[in-house]
Amino acid sequence: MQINEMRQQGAVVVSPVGRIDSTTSPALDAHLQGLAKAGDHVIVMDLSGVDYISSAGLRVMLTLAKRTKESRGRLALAGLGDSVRQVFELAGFLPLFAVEATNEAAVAKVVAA
Amino acid sequence: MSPSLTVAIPGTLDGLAEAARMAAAFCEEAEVPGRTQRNLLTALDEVLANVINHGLAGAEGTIELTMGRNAGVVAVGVADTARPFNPLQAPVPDTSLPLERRKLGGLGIALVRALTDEVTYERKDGHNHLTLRWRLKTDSSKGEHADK
Repeated sequence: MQINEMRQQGAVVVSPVGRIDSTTSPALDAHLQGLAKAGDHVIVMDLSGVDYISSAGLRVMLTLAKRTKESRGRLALAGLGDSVRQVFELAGFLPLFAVEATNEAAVAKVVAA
Repeated sequence: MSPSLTVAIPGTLDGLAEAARMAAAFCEEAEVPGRTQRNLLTALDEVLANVINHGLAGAEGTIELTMGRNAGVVAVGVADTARPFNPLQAPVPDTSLPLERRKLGGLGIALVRALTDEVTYERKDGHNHLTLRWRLKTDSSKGEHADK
């Protein structure tokens, strides 16, 4: 897994590329913790490059959601492919996140409020 | 031709990473359709992580992975030397709770059930055997290309 990152209108857009599973999720978790330590709490997770996500990845996403809420930040997801969406749906995760179709919409969502 | 694979991996996260690589390569070689391939690799990650984190729980052990495909079915077998442990008996998590109360225990196995067509557990010869199966559409000319 590779993790790309860019800044847009005050939001950090994080784009993991590849699979998010037991072996790759610790790196993603560490990356997101690094953002929190740096005071970045306005985050868009761009999942368009993710092949599939397992429950290890869901754990990272849940931790991120809880941390963002505690620090009064904002979080939105974008670019969920079929497999990723299916797993979020099966886990009952879709209601826990703001989910937008595109990065642009997700950035607008987290920056607006 | 019925492609198949049998490998033994150490029951560690490194072993899991190695198994994931080999499983992905097998899926490509055996031309497992894209959607089934992603479901298989996700389910395999759940099963192996479960054996390593809960079954072995820090103890040393070996996991034997078998994969096979014929015209109609892809099957994955995971056999491990951990204590008797049937993951299919794990309690099903409540996926309707709000964020603050949400826990993840059992979610992996719930995903395995949902992402496979059939999953069976057997304790035999001092090993846990978990078998996952996916039925493939017999008409391979349809539905696979758009799915890839």
